[in-house]
Amino acid sequence: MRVQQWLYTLALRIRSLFHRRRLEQELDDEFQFHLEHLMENGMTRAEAIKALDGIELRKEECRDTRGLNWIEGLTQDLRYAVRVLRKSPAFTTVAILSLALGIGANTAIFSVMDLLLLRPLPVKQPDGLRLLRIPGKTATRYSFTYPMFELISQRSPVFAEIFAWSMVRLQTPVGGDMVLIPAAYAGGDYFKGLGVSPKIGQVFGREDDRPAGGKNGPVAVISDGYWDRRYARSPSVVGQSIPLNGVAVTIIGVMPAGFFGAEVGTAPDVWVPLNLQRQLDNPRCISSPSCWYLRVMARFKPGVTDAQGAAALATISRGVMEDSNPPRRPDLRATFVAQQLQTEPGAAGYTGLRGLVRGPLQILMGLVGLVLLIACANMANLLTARAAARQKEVAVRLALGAGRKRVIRQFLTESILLSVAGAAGGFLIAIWATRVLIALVSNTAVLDLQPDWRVLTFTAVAAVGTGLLFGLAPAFRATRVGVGAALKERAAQIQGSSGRFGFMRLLLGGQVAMSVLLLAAAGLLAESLSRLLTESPGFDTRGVTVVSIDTSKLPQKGPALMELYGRIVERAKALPGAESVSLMSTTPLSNGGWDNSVTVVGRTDIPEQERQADINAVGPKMLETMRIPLLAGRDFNDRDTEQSTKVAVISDNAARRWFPEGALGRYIGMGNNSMVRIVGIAGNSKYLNLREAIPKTLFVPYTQWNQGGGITIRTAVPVRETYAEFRELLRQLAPGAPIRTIKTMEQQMDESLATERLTAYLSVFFAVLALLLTSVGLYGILAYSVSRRTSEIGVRMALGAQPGNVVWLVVREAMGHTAAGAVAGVAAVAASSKLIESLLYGVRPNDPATIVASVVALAAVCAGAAWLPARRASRLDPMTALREE
Amino acid sequence: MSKPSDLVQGTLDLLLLKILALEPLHGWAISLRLKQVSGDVLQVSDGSLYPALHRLENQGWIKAEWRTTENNRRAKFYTLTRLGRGQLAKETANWERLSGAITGVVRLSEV
Repeated sequence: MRVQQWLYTLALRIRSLFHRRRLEQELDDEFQFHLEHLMENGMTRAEAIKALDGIELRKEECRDTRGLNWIEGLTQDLRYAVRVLRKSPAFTTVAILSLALGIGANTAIFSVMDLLLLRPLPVKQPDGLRLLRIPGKTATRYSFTYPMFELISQRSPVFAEIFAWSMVRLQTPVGGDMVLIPAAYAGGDYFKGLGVSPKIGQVFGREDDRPAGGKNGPVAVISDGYWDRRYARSPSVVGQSIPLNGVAVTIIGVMPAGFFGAEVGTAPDVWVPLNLQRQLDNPRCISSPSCWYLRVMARFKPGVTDAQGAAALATISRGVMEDSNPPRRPDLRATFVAQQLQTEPGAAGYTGLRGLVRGPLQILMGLVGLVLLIACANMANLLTARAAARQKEVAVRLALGAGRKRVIRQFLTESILLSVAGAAGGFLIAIWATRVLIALVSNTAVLDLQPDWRVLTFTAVAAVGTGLLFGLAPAFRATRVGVGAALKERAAQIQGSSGRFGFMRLLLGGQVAMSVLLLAAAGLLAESLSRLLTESPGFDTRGVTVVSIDTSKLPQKGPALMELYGRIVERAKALPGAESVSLMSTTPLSNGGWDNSVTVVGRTDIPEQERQADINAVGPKMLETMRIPLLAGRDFNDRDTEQSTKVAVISDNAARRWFPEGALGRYIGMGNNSMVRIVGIAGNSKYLNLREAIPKTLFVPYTQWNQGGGITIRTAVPVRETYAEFRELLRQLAPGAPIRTIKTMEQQMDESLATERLTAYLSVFFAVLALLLTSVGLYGILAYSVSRRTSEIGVRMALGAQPGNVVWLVVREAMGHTAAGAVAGVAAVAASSKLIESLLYGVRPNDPATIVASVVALAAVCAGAAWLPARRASRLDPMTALREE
Repeated sequence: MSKPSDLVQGTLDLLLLKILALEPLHGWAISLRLKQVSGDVLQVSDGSLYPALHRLENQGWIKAEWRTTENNRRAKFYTLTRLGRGQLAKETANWERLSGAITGVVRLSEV
């Protein structure tokens, strides 16, 4: 019965929507019929209408019973709102533009967060995935060795599926050339755990993950993109063989479009079983207990809770660590075996970018939220000022019998219409801005930039939320007006204004305070970036290019390979424009490298942390190529070979700390009983990144440590012009060694500062936006105040006030409005600037100069915003002004 | 949807449903019938009659159609629906329970 009634009345209501005109006519007729009967029974028309207690009111009650009347009301409100907004295009444009910028900036930052931190992997039940980690004192480790992965797989009873992967680039011949394609080693229950079925063919599992492959031998699965590019979507690709690093591998399946595995930002073309690595490249890494290169994910067995899983991992942690080749030194060993295995939610996959951007993104989200609040305050101010001009309209509507609720609804419809229009614009801005932001974060990340429902929801909530936030208070204030008083205009101006003005001042104060906060944050972050950019890394980045080549498939190994490197360096010196060529195993500023705690022979009083050294295996003339000064002793040369005495060049700070009485000729122990003799002292230089304190650096000849590296070339001409020749040279000397990367040191430096750049640029942009919005807000409130004080100013001028006095009058008022806000802003900076301390470099969070500069910048912009209304006030004609009374 | 606890509204609904249960009528006739059956005890203004009728119609308890009256004029006639018949029974029972209870209380206080 209930359902039936519900359906019936729903049909009635829907009908009422579509037959509105007919229903109106019927309503008319029905009342008319009653009216006529009353009049036939001797009433006058007026009496009859009175008997029905006013026909229109009753009709409205009848309409209300239709239930969907509010939709009609809404259409009415919307139509009216559009009309009202069209009538003041300047206001509407400013409003929509500022909201579009505010909401767009928020949506863009949120999109980046969504892409990197929130969006679930396109796999089966991503919520069930858990990412394994090892929390440490300073950083959380997400990498594992293969033996460790095996131990965890065997010993933990709580996982239904557990898998590991590592990103790699593999060589395959295309045309006559070897090219490197992005690939992934996938081990354990990789495809089963991710739960994605292939588009065609099949995937591989544990039975194929063996050193020699499974029953089909070595197999691979390719991506939809690679299938398209390389095989033109031919279904016969399954069963074909593809040479990867010289090994013939059989393609057994193609993954669906959109699948990229579990590492966000990567786009492998090929997946091969992890154990195939023994054949494809470095066979030592997979069996090594010190090659930390795997990411591990798992799914718990059904019914296993996170707490149970954590407990199970806790019980096996110590055993796994003990069997994972812990360091021999007792203290290091104790720390190592105490490490705990943990899981964290893995729905959003893993990305190396996450650790890099999480902190900055949270700060940026906070800053951009402030921008939106400022935009809201601005809108609230503009609407309040507008409401003053619309007081008569409101009064008339109230007098004609509109309920206060109805009028508030009308006002809110207008503000939400504005915010929705702003959000639509903002959404478009965000789509573009997200691309720019991601490119700033990483130039190699491959991400699906399509906004998903989270981003859409965020924008929608932002739209309605801001509309309500800035519309509600003005709407309530606008309708809080005595009808009689409002219709008598003068009275209304005097009465209603003081409260409203206080409200506007409060909003403006808030805007000013938030602007100061944003300016200070931007100032600090920009100062940090500029310090980093002007910080000398200790070498000259200009004109240096590092070419790294993949030598894993060359026949030469060990000393023969070192000799080949020597020949490549030698030949590269003849490249056009080449000034100096050398080799470095670690490219500085690449956030990675070789570090070790060394022993200083003859001294036992130096604590461990002062014996940490960053080590780089380099060729002769590296100092010259990088323009690191040689302060004493000699550089490496061709006589430093595998057989000769092991030597080192150490940095100045290391020499001073370790050997105050002179370092040349002294010895350093580098573990495994190998001693190196110090032959030179070089200038200090940075190693991991620009942010770190200058490390103690130890250079060793690459020939003595069997370490190849990037060919480092200093050229007078842009390297692009020598690129073809370098390729040709490589083809002659080392066919089968494709170029892995070719990067100038300046690019390297840019990349290492990517997040700093992102935060600095964005916070400055947000601060400029905040200033702009605040100045619009100040302008609005002053213009309003001047128009309100027209007669007062007229009297003053009639009594002899000069234009200068009047300008001062307005400017003083502007200062009054902003001063309190600025004070509050400075207090807010003092209270909160610690939050961004971790992002700063070379500047303290409460840097007085930055705070003063922020206030000064704000004051200057406010003075500019005050200028127009002040000038207008000073040009008032006293007679006209007074006549307005 | 219905608010049985609301005595006044519930009563008007009950009266209207009861009147329409006897025969289909138009608004004017309903107003006459109301005055006729309840005398001056129940003061239902002509104006409040129509919103009530429209509400009942939108609840699905009565339905309306345009017919010609005996004087050859077009008028909107309201008829009880099957749903309305059920509602009438329910409201009648409600009313009897309520008035019975109130009568009981009133008698009790007289003793």
